Amino acid sequence: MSRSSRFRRELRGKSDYRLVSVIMLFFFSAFLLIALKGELHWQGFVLAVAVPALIYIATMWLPRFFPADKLLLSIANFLCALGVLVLYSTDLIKGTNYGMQQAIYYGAGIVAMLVCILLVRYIRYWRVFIYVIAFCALGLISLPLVFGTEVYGATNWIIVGGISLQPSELVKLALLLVLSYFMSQRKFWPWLIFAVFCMGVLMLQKDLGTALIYYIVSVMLYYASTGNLWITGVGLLGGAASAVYGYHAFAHVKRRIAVWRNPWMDFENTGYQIVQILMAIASGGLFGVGLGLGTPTIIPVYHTDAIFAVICEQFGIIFGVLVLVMYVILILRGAAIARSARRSFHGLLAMGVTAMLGLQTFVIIGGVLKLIPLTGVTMPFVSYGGTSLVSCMGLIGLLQGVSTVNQDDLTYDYEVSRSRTEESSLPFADNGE
Amino acid sequence: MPDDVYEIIALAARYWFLLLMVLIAWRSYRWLARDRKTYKKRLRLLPDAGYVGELVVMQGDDTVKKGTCLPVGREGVLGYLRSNDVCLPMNGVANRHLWFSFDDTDGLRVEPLRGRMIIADGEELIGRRMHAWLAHGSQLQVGEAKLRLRMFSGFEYAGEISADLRQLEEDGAPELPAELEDAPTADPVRRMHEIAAWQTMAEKDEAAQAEPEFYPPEMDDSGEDDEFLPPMDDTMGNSYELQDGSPVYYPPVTDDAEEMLPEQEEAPKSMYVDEDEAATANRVLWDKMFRGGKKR
Repeated sequence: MSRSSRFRRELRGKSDYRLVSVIMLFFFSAFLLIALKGELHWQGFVLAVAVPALIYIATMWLPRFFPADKLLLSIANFLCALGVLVLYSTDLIKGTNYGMQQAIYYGAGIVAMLVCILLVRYIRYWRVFIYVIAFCALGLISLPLVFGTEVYGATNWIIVGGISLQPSELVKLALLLVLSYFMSQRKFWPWLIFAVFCMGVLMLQKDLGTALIYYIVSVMLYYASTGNLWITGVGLLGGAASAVYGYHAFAHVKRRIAVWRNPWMDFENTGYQIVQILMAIASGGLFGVGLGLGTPTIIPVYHTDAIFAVICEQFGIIFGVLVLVMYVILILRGAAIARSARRSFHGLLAMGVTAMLGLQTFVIIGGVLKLIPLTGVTMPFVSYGGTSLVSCMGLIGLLQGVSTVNQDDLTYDYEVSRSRTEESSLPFADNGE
Repeated sequence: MPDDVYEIIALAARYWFLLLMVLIAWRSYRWLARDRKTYKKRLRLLPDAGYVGELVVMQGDDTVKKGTCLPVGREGVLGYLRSNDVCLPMNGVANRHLWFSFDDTDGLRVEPLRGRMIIADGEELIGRRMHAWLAHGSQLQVGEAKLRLRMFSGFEYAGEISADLRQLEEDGAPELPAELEDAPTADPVRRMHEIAAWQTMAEKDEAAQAEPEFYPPEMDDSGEDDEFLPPMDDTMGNSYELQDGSPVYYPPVTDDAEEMLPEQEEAPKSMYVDEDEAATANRVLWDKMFRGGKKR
């Protein structure tokens, strides 16, 4: 084995079998337990084998083909599988079929992640490709304006052949790619036009939570690439002004903020969801009511928005805090990848992915904990929803792609420095120090 | 399983799940911390990590001396300010002067920022929307500074070397001064770098020799060593050797006294930096920047 390949292997890091095996043990025992509830559920037994196997494949077997970041993979897979577990446990209470569907979406998400890794890793020339992506994204995000379906006050769904899609979730990937490309090429106007168009379309669809995330991510990317505090400050002020305008212009925003300020005022109608969320978290206590027990399904939209409350009820608040810790580690890892990137496109891409995942987590968990008004954003990786899960795994794929490129660069540096140090040492110029 | 039995098992299992979750979070944190530590250690072992090359100063001033190497990253800004990626505090260099970015196939792309001017391989670039590709060995003139690019990363990809360097390779590599003969290298730019370093040393020596140490002859009243003393009415300057063989110079008294001094070897001029050419380019640059392109 040559020295560089040994270095490359060292670079991937010692894979922590302990972490992955503990994760697999967790899901095996959890699915086994839930399969024993009432009469035996064969689906539970299948999941008890299939989910740990999927985790093993995604975290241990796939990284043999490229230098992937296994910690990132482990955390993302843990969160996805946690979503499958929680949804399956509520299925047994209510009789829905979210768990198995989510498991299928999880498999699709792994495929999406692979595609994104290959995209970032092997495409060197984005000059033409990025315009294709940009125009496809603009078309995709405008589709619900033409034939969209209204869900909870926002027209952001389209139904194609029985499958419902949320284009704004998929456009997230394109948004990050396009914005970070234009910023790395220092092309400000195409950047601005693309960002403003996307946000304008989202405002027309009244999908305000997603528009907020798009907006803050764009401003953060601008700041990360230029470091211009003045224009960033002006952008944030503009955002605040448009938030005030949105409060006065949209009735459902006004209603949501009133509900957020005092949900007990109207706890039977508008405040019903947040009151049920708070009661679920409270009834869970520190250690939870036990997996598969409790009544989490009386929360409206428990499977997407309020899934963090379900986790807190079944596993307890300590468990919920530890889930948040996992998100924090994911974000720290993303920031480290962004910082060690060599090209500004990759650095901005990783930064944008990290910011987007962090913001989305903050918006939804803050909403569930009544820290900020509740908006209809999915909890990354955990919430039910094929598009959301696929796009989140795609985001992780983009991050992984940047990470693989970083590791290739470091290996290359190692080879170059070795070839340099093997030459004889030479007198260097006196720099006047 | 009956519901009451299941409930007891589930209530007991929640501590098990919590324990596993604590382990998962703890192992993830440890993994994160360990990787951060190894990454730092690795970067310490690779001081050139992230740099694609260096700009060797072929013509500098007192602040940035000739032979200084400025490491160049993949992308960034060159300018006067210290916050830039490459800091070049010299006359004629703007606070933020040019933007550079590295491409694996074409080399280093340089692009002057708005209203700035650079000369890359003899080609003048003014303002934005003009760019040039620098190859291994290309010359770059920014303000009063003349720089030469030496790539050490990505050189294999970037492939091409600059035209004059190729000519140099065809003509044969320049001869090394005797001081550097022990360290022969095949890379012409590396060799050029050595010569620049050597020139800096030679300039130092020259500066040291410009003011030779003056030893006043010891006055000896005994008259025993009179034959070693120069005649007192010598107005031409004179030199003689001390007993240990080292020369002692008198200060010259007349204008043509220098002719009498032993000949000193002149420090070889750089074969890459043409002083006249540099002066012309500077004047052109000055005219472009401050006089609207009008010649003086």
